[in-house]
Amino acid sequence: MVGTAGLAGCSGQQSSGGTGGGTTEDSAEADSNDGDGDSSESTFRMNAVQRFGTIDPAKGTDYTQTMALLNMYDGLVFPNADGDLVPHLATDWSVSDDNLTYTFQIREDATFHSGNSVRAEDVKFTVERFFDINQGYASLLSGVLDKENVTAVDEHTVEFTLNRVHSPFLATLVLLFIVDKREVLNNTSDGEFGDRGDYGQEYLNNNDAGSGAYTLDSFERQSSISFAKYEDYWMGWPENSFDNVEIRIITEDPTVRTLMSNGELDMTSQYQSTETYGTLQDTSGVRVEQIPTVTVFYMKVNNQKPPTDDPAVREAISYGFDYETARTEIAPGSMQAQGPLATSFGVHNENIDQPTYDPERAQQVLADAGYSEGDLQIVNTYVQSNNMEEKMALLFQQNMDAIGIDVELQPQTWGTMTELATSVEDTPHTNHVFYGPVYPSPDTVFYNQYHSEAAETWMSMSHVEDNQIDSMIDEARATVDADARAEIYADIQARLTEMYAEMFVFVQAKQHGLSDDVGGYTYRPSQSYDYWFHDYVRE
Amino acid sequence: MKYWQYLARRLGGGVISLFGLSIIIFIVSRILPGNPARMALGAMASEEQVQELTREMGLTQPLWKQYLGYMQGLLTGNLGQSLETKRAVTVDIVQYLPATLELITVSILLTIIIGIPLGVIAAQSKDGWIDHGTRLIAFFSVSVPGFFIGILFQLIFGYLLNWFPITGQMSSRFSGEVTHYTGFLLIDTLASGQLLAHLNVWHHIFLPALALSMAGMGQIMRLTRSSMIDVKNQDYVEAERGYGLPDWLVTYKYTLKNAFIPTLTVLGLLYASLLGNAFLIELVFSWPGLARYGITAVINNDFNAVVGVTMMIGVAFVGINFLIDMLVGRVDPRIRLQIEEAT
Amino acid sequence: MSTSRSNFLDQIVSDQRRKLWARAWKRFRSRPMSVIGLAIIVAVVLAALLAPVLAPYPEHAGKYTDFASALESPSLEHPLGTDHVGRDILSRVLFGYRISLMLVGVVLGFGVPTGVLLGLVAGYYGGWTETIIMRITDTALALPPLVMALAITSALQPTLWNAMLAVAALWWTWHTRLVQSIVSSERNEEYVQAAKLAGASSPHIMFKEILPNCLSPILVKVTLDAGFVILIGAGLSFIGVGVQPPQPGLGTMVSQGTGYLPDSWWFAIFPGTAIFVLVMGFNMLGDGLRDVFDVEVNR
Repeated sequence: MVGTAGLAGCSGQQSSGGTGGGTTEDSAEADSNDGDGDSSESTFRMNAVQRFGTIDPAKGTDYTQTMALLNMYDGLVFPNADGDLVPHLATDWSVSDDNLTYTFQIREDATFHSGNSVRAEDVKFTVERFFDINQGYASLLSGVLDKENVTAVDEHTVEFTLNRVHSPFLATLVLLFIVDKREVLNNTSDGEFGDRGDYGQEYLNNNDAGSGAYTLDSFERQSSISFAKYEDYWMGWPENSFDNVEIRIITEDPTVRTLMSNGELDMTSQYQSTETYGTLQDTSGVRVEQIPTVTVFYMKVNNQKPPTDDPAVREAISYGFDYETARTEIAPGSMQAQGPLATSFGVHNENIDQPTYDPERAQQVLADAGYSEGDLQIVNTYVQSNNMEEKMALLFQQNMDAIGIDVELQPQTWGTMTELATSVEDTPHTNHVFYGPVYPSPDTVFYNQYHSEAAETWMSMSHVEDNQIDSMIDEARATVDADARAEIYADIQARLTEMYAEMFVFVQAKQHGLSDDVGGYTYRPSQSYDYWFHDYVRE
Repeated sequence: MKYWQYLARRLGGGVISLFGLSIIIFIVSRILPGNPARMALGAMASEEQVQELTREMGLTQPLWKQYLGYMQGLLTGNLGQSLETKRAVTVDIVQYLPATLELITVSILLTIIIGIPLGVIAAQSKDGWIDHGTRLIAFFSVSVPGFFIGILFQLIFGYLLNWFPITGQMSSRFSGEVTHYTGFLLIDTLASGQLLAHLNVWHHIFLPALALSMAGMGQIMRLTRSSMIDVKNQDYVEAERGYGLPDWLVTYKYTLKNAFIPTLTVLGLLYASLLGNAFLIELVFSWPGLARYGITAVINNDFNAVVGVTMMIGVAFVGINFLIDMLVGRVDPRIRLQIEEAT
Repeated sequence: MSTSRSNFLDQIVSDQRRKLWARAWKRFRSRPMSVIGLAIIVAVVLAALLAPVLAPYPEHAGKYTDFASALESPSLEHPLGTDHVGRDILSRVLFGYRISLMLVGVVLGFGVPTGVLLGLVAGYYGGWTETIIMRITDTALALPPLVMALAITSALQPTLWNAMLAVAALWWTWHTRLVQSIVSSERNEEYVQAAKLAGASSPHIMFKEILPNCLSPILVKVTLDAGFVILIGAGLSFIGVGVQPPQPGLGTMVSQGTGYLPDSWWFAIFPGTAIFVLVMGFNMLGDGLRDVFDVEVNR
């Protein structure tokens, strides 16, 4: 299985108490297209723990934004359950011999919600918009593709000419959500982009211009978003699919539990507390599914800041942590991580020497390096409202105390953590981060987290900055042969483990509470692609 | 000092207070950690994008210039845009404020309905066991942390007895039927002609309002009691009794009315202080009011929103205090002293 | 001659004061509520001081985890149950009281002397000094404490200490107001005029003559304040501006506990009750003191 994405980082605002931006159980403002009122229409209800910052396809990045976007928009390709790319808006594609030119055939029966048909011109426009606005995932392809090199060869054929060989190119296209050029240009406001005005940013802040399975029905940024089925969707609809989808932002566990048990919610987010999942399992009408993912939970250690810049200290930390308790008690169902890449990836290196819980070895390493008890003080940061991370932090603190390292816990908001990540000096010594691929390729795991060019984001809080790693990643990108690439990937994993660059704690098995009568959930290893509501049916 | 002179002085004081408040809040908002531009753009933003937005937001200008711009905005009612919701802060506040105001108002109503009669009864049975009983209740209500009583109510009346819903303002099944004229659900449900929805809102608002009213209830109870006792001992009451007026008439019509004045002013002060306390109750009951908005803003360093909410509450505080001064000064200057001693 | 005369006067005054206090104590003793309040406070202070000894599992207040014992209901082993990490709640509550009392000490220790001093100065000197000080006081009073504390802490590290410092920075205002109103009426009294004539210095008059007359209302206010400070601290912790883990802040415990309602109710209820008991103790005590002193004043 060419495993790929899971969900990227941001563990959002999961609450363990009365904090967080929760909304009401029954919000008066959520203009929900209430399925209950009209019994011929079916509504699917889910909670999220993080608000939808934006629904503009050129800007969305985190799990909730991507969830919204992939339902309202279509990409050229689509990841399947194995992580392979299958046709979506593109029926067919070919790659030139020099691996620089990709040619896609756009399907002719696809229409936007406005009624306009999907054309190659729209694809070109989407790319231009992406690069011009220059936010969101635009950075993924910067340097790789120039917008001038996207050509609409004819009404339904589009050509991409890359600047250099880039093996993950096709995979990144799952994030290129195609927008309706005519619709957007009809709805521009004043802006800096000449005759394209604001590129429709204000319009797309609250409307959709996509061709996807669902249209935007209502949007209340802090509390909810709802979608309505697009009847003319080119793929058609399975029987018993949902006419409406409503996602509400609810962070309080007790509320989620209550709503699931009285049937007002059909699916929980994956960020509820373990105790909640336990209770839901025993609730009638509800089941809890445990889904192995390719998201890894890391303890990112700052490689550039003393004392964690000393490999001996990092080694000690890696051997001083009780991985098993973490897995069995704090994150039940998860699997031991082995190196930076999730174990289910095809290119996972089985031969790496993953550290285990060995406090004697840790203490020996420290003693050999000349440290005595009390010499070392480090800071540990995690998302304040995240129940699981708090437990993990307390365990970490206790373990480190046993080997003579003093840990100060500093819970922060996610916003502050991303802020701290932007400079080496500000990034704390150890940080809790979940990371899963945002597109179906191991490249995202390596590039975003360990390449020097991708520095200063929450994904690269370990500030590895190693020339060897950099050149290996670059080489992999330029290598088209899958086997050769696999070898390079294996080397990268080995080297990162030898350096004790970070602590690789566990591979996440996410949990969802689901109504017994909801089926169709399909895990796909690309961020939020398991929340494509087109799959879901009422049984 | 004449009444209008007194008023002018208080008004001037109020304006100075607001001015001071604006400076403090401005300073606070500028020392908030993190670059708000980066917050707004998200983690994937490039450096140039962040720089550009920082410049657009005026954050690179000298502090005094920023303050002028800020004051200008405040005075024209422009509080800037929330980085979170991407809407004008004023719009956000207008959306969330009614829910909070509704909660506070119902809370005060409960305080009055329960607290004053209890205070009257306590005064009548002075030093009797009812008096001691109410005193104990008053202690309880003032000592218990607001959020805690909220949780207790949820546990007992919600989970255990299932008499009341534990979160929210109204069941979602009604939300399609109610038109939002004012934002005050109790009013809107009536205006939309939805009686069931109206009852449903009462059902939802009761527990949080009761929890919120606890703190003030003890005070009102005690104050009513002591005022009633004071007045009861006055000569004119004795005289009325001497005229053969029935006891209950003396109690309610004459004694209570005069005893009511300090109570009234305390109620006003209470309204102001509830604005601050409502925060905790709103969190516990997931009430869609200003509290959640404000706290999310603080957590996300959404400084426009933080400034907006804080200024709003500050203005409300000062405004209510001024209104009270107006009423009090009108009635009896001596009362001021009595109030200050009682609270 | 003036010295022996002032000594004589001082003697009479201090005699009177002693008698006043003796009567006050007798009156206090006769009211059950006040005595209960005092008893509660004494009990809590003792419990906090002796926490390392009294707590069945003192190490649970520190770096300790035991996930296998998480969320156990109250039992003989754990009279108040365990929390989500497996720590004994009773032990943590005892240590939590330490933190609460320390907060009271910090806030009042800073706020009261500052406020009293400012009030004395403002009330005594009057004029522009008074106007300026009172204007600033009124401005500060106009700020809702919880909201201000939140805003200020968000600018610094969101720890409880910073939040309480913010509260302390606003606390002096109440005492300034209180003392200033007393002093400004007292300064026209005869005994002050007499002291001035006798050549006493201003500081002497302020501290030795006038201040003692303010002590009883200040004392009452301080006691009631203590309860209020604890409530504010708990409120802030509940919102999320709490003590740094793994410290056992009572408000933080309630906040975390709410996520486990209603099944593991003990996690939220017991720390909440602990807060309530302490605050009630202070309120009862303060109320008793107020009754006692007021009677004296009216006499």
